Amino acid sequence: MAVEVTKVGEVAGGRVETYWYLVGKRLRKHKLAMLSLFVLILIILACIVGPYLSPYHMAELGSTGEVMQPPSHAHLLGTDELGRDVLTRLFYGGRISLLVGFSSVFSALVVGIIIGAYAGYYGGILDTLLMRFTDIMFSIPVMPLLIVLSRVIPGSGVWKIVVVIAIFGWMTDARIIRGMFLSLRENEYVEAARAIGVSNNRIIWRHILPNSLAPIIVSATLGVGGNIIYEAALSYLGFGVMPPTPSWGNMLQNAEYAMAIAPWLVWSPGLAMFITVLAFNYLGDGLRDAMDPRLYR
Amino acid sequence: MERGEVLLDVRDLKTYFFTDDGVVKAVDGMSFTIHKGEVLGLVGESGCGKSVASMSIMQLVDVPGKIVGGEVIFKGEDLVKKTPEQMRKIRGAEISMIFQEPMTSLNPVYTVGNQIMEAILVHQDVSEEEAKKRTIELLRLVGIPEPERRFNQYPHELSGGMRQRVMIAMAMSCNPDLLISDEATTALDVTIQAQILELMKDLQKKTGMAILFITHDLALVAEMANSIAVAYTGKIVEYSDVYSIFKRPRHPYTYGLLNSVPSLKTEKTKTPLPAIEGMVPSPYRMPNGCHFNPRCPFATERCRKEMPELAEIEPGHLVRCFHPVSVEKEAYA
Repeated sequence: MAVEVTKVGEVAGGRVETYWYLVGKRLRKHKLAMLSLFVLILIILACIVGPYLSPYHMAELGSTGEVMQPPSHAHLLGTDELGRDVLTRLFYGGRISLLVGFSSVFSALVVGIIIGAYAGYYGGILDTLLMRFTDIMFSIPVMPLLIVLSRVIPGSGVWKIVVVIAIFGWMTDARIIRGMFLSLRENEYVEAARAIGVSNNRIIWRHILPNSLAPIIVSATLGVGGNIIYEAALSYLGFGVMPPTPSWGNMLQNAEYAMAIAPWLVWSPGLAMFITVLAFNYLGDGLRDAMDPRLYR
Repeated sequence: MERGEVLLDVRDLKTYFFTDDGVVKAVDGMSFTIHKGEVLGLVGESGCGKSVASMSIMQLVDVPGKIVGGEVIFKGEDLVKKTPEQMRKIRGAEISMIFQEPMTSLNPVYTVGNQIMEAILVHQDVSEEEAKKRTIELLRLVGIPEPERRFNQYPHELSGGMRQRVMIAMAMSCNPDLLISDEATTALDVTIQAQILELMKDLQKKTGMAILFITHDLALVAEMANSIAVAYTGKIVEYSDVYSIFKRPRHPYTYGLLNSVPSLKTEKTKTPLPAIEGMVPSPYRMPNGCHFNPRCPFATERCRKEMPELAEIEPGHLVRCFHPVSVEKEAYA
């Protein structure tokens, strides 16, 4: 993971290099992160395209003879207890799991950025109020409350899970953003922007936020993997995505009792989740290395 | 000297900082006026409240700082009483400011053109193309070669002098009536410093704007200013036109400052450079009476008890001292 130290603004081959160009260049040298990125793109493509290529429908029941078939030519990853094709369900489940992962991270990020930005920029009493609120949210035991919430919030399905995860997922982001804002607001360009009459909101969103993107991106990347696990845990406990809509989590839960006689039902969603989450974590690590501010001074 | 009408009148301005260790009276009853088209030099050593005074004029004092008294009359209106939104419209449009650190005063994620355009678009209702056209004109005005190319460059691609020119272009974007230059040339090389000064003088002549020139460098004010205000511990101790200050400094502090500048004479006579005894008092423990008394060679019992008022001892020459110096200094330069 040796990274070459290049200064921002250094001219390479007659081209002046911007920060993001350098980040890309360094990320490309990070083999594990590039492999992870490749795997992720593959998985995402498979989940998008897969269901169209599959001859089966995710909820299509097989005849009695097709129940719990081991992997074969007709069913590459076998069938489940209702005779449904596991590979097809894996693609659908991936769609749901990734969708939950991405959108919950995004929603949590929006909340975290808003709270962190205002707390860090304005400071004082607003900062105290928002951060104490964040502390309170942090000290709530999440799992039991998630279970209660997923019962209390009406409706079922994917969006409920996204909302529930986002409600408890924004605090870390808020703290990161607040820290960034606390230090960045002391910069002279912020003072200069104020001195030419730029409004506070514009300073927050246009001047400070773009400068605090690096840690946000890293945290978001790592967050997607984490939230996929969260969704699986919720689904496993029976409070997540409701069947017949498959997600990797509820596929695992379904497979639990059949583990001894049909291990492929566990392996497929389990491995898919494992590889995806691992890839997100490696990619996040790679991004963190590539964006390390200490290498750009 | 003939003077235009009063543009900025700072009256008894008090800006205090309420820290955990006590109240710091950074600006404690400062008064000065700037006339239209005039350059006023505000001189003093670190911690005398020059920068806080400029931030107070802009109404940009942050907590724990607070303007606790006084008025800042700009074009007949008190800026202290303005709402934040009214102030925002004045900043950049009527009063602009340039800062000490050109290296960090520009946002690293935007091109310089983009940032000057922002200054225009914040205050004026013009199209993007119009703003871009004006930005390029401004870049040319502040002496940046190849403005079309520079427009699309990022701050890190420019040298310190260039960046300060960009800052000046930004400050000039809406033709302000008052430009506050807070140690704007301090961080630059002497040669670049001279160029930037020349540019500011030139722009001042072209536009007729007034400049509040804040510095600790006496040679610079002599170069730039029409009048000089000398600040010490948050108060103005002497105020006059450049010529009188340099020729006949009346406050012992000003006298000491001017004496501690090396000249050809000290070089010839090999006498050690005179310095002002002692140190600036701690902001938490100001001495009683005149704040300069512990360091003043002429201090008397009265100086240790009473704070003198800023009094006009000659027409146009104000001094805050019971025992103004009456020695004539040989003229500088």
